[in-house]
Parts: sequence; C-alpha cells; structure tokens
Amino acid sequence: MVFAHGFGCDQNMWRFITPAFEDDYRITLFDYVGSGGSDLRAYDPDRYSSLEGYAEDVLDVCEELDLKNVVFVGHSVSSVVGMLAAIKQPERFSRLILVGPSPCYINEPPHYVGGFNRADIEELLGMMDKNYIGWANFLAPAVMANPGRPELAGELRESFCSTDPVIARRFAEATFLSDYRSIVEKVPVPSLIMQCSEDIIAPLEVGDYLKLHLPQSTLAVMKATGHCPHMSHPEETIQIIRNYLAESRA
Amino acid sequence: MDEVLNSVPCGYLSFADDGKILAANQTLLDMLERSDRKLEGQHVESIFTVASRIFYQTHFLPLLTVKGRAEEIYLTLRSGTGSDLPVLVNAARVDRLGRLSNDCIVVPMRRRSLFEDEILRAKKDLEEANQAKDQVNAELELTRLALEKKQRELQDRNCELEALKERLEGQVEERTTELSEALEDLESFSYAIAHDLRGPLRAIVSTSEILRAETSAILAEEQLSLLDRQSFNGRKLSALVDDLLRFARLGRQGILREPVNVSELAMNIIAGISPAHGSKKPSFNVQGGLRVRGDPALIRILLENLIQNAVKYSPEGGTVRIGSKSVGETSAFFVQDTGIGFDMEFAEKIFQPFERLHSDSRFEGSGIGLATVKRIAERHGGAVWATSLPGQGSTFYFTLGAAGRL
Repeated sequence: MVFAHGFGCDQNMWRFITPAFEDDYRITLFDYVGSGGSDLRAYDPDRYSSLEGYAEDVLDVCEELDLKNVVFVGHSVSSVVGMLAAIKQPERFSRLILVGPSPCYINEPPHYVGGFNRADIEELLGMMDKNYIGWANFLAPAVMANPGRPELAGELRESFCSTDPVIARRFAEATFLSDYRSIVEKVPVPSLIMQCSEDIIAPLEVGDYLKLHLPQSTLAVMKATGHCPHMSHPEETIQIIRNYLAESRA
Repeated sequence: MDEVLNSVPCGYLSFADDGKILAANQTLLDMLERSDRKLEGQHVESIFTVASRIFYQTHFLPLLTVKGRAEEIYLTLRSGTGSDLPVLVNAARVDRLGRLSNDCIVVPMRRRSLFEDEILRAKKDLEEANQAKDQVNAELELTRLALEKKQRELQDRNCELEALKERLEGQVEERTTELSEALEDLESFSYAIAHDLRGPLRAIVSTSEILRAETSAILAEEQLSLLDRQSFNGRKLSALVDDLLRFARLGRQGILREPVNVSELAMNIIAGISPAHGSKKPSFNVQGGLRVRGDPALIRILLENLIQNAVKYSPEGGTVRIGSKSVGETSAFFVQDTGIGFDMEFAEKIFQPFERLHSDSRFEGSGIGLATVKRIAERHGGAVWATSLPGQGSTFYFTLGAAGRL
C-alpha cells in the first residue's frame, strides 16, 4: 500500500490509518519533493509545476522499491496523481483508493461544479504567499551542508506542514488551477471514491461526476465532514477501505 | 466567560474538532463587526473567507491535529459587513474536561498585511528585474563571445595579410633589383654601342665631305648629289647616335640642382632655331620670370626638344607659347603650338622611344626626342604629358618635381 499525501502537509497525516493495514500490507509512505522532509535540492520548479511531475515521484518510488500490485491511497490532489500514474504504468497498480478526490476545482458553468471560482483560488494563492509555517526549515538543507553547526539537525523534525511560500504556492497552482477531467475516463485500474459529506474542497457534485466518468469505480459517501477524513474520522476511513479491499479480493 | 478574557485586546475563539464554535470573546465579535450576533454553535468556517476555508482544511486543521499547535497562521476572516479582515492566528489544542477543543487567539494585521503586500510586490519586481538582467547578461555574453571570435578571425586575417605583404614586398624588391640590373645593363650596352658607332660615323661624314670637296670639279651633278646624300645621311645617323648616347647617358649621370632661368633659356634656344626648308617660322611668346631648380644642361635639352618639335609641327607658322600655368594643385610649364596636332589616343605613346606618329618625311627626327624629354623630367622627379586637337595644335606640359620648384 502506497500512501500519497495531498496538498498541504505531508505523510504524517496518515498516521492514524496505516497501523490498521500493517499486518496485511507492505506500507510505503513518502513526501513529494517540496513537501515534508524531502530534500529541497531536488525541487525542480518546471517538473513540479504540473501534476505529471508528482506522478513521476510516485512511479519513481514504486520503481525504487520494486513495488507490485500496489494499492494506491491518495488524498485530495493525489487522487489525480494516482490516476496519472496508473495510466502511465497500469501493470503496477491493482487498486486506487481516492480520498476526497477532485479532477477540477474551478466551476465551469453551466454544468460542472468544481466548488470554486477563479477569484477564490487567486485569493488562496495570495494566502500561500503569506504563510511561513516552518519556513526556516527550508533553509536547513542548505545550512546542513555546514558540518560545524550540528544544532541545526533538530530543526528538520519540525517539518510537518511546512509551507515554503514559493514551493507551496507552486503546488497550489499545480493543484487548483489544473483541469484533469479529460484523463478520468482513461484510468485503467478499479478505484474507490471516498466522498465526504460536507467537503468544500471536494463537494458532493464532484463525487457524482467522478462516479459517472471513472471506469470501474465505487462511490462511498462518508459520514465524515471536512476534507481530511483520515485525520478527523480515522475509524470510518479504515472501515471503508477494509471493506472495499475485502470485496475486491473476493 | 471570564471578564478578562472577554475584553482582552485580541480575539479569542475556541472550536471543536468538528468545526463548531464553542466560545468567542467580545473583542473578536467587535473585530468581525458582529457585535449583535452570537458565534457559538456556528461552524468556524462561517467566519472564514473561501480561501481561508481551503487553507483551514489543508493546513491549519491538520497541523493542529497532528502537532497540537499552530503558530503565525495568516488567514482572512469575513466580517459582518462583508469585507475581509486579515489576521494572524496562534492556536493550541487543549483537553478541557475530557473534550478536545482548539483555542485560537486572533490578531488583526491590516497594516502589516499591506506592508507585506508591498514587500512581496517589490520582491517579485526584483526577481523579474533579475531575470531580465540575467537574460541581458546572457545575451551580452553571447555577443561578447561572437565579438571575440570575430576579433580572432580579424587577427588571423591580419596575420595572413602581413605575411602576404612581406612576401609581395620581397617579390617587389627582387623584381626591382632585377629590373635595375637589366636597365643598367641596357644602358651600358646602349652607351657602349652609341659610343662605338660615333667614331666610324664621324669618319664616314668627314670622308664624304672631303671627297665631295676634292671632286667637285671632276664629277657630274648627279654624282655630286650622291655624295651630298651620303654625307647628309651620315650626319643624320650621327645625330641619331648622339641623341641615343645622350638618352643613354641620362640614366647614368647624377643631376644638378641649380637655379635655372627657364624664360632666358627658352629665348636663347628660340634664337638659334630655324624652321625646316619650306616652312614658315612661327612667332614666339615666352612668359617672363619662369624659374626652376634643376640641371641646366638637361633642362636645355628638354626645352630644345619641345621647342624644336613645336616648330617642326607648325609648318604654317602660327604661334608658339611658352609659360607656366596651374594644373590641379600644382603648376606646370608648357610649350604650346598651333600646328597639326595629334590624336589624343596616342597621347602616351608619343613619349616612347622610336614611336613616331607621322611617317610624313616633312617631319624629320630621330624618334628619341620626346622619350628624352620624359626621361629628363622624371630624373628631376617630375613628369610630362600632352594634350592636343588635330589641326589646331598641341600643348606639352612638364614639371620638374617638388624639388624643382623654387
């Protein structure tokens, strides 16, 4: 099982979920380049300006660890990342589990409800510029090259939810300004859509849209509200995933 | 709510994990311009702008959940009047009587926000300017490299040219030496021949004249005229040899540089001239005050030749004028006649030895005269040239070099 975090924060968000599957699956957790504890020297603005770059990260991890029959669990934007990865290497994946997925966040009247209009997204991007959570950490890798300052080693641990303004903004742009509706029907792997009840980021309309266009998909509407059921409602999340995987094996 | 907390100068908000607001102080209500309304029971997202709601879901809440605290979170709140309020939030997760709640303090930062906007804008402008600068630098670098390349090419070209120049100069020197030697040989040869011819010629002439004198009583008219013709031709040949000798000698002697009164010299020459048999002597007009620095003997020969020519080719007489006039940036002497002239096509050929344009026997001469004139002028560092209109006359110009001018 490969767990891919979404926009905002990093692999730590899965900490309430992974223990439930440790016995049955080889668990792989990672941070995308530019997030969490990743080495920022590997950050390439061009590669990560589109979700295809992130899909490459997923495939690189699978390749490096020689993973097979991967159950890919992706949150938020990672659901699209998972779809892109599955299209590129279908033989690698057995299932896609999509938590709060959305192929396009911006409304396209008259028919498509993504949840936001362009102005909202612009505002969000402005907000990314002004949040500096863990900003100092992003200097750390460069500073770490200086062996005379061992006290800096501790700071890297504070990396959860770091938002280097530049990188975070680019991730936000890659996520919220993209439209991947056209690739949805090409996904060759069966998938589970985990739709939250009141999620402003992935509203119910989007879940319905995906059910309609994603081949071999199952829609599970959760009692959980908000956008991170794996954090706010871990039990329900674990339950739904377990059931789905059991049914798939049958 | 505790009175201190209610009125403390920052907003206080507490909400549960499901987002329901548990408590809010008066300061926050005033900040949000919702003094008359209650916030408890509402979802915390109701006071967030859309952008803040997204950030709350993706960053703020996860951070609180995992870390238990969040600091310096920038959010925008929606006030009761619909305007946006930028705030800074510090939050902590607390366990109050078995229930988890998220406590936040909220500090407005309108001014700071504006300031930050300015800084961000300046930063962006700087980045763009730097990018532009980098681009310009890159282009400059390319240009510089191209320029260096061109420079190297030019240098290579120059070297080639230098080498070529040296080679050519070497060749020229060789040629010049060869030519000088050849010329010297030729001159020596001509001189030797002419010199050796004179003796026998003189003998032929004198013996013819002696014979004629001694046999004038004995021989018939036709026989006497034969002798006349013999001595005449002998003298002619002598004159030719003398001319040749003089011409050849010109290449071997140095020239003097003395003041020469050209006007006087011309008058002197004119006095001794007589036209050919049957021709009229032309009238002469000599400009006064003509002076030059040069070799008096050579200049005399030059003038003699030109004046004699003028007379020879003016069988009807006419006027021969001698003077100086400005020609372009210098001045030149001239000898002008109103005689038969010549076709300008041959204006240069006439100065070559033995080139005679008029085969008419009226015009006798050795064919060396103008060549001698040219050589004398050139030995002085000057030149000769001529203009003419057939039937109207000719003008012969000569200069005797910069050193020739007084």
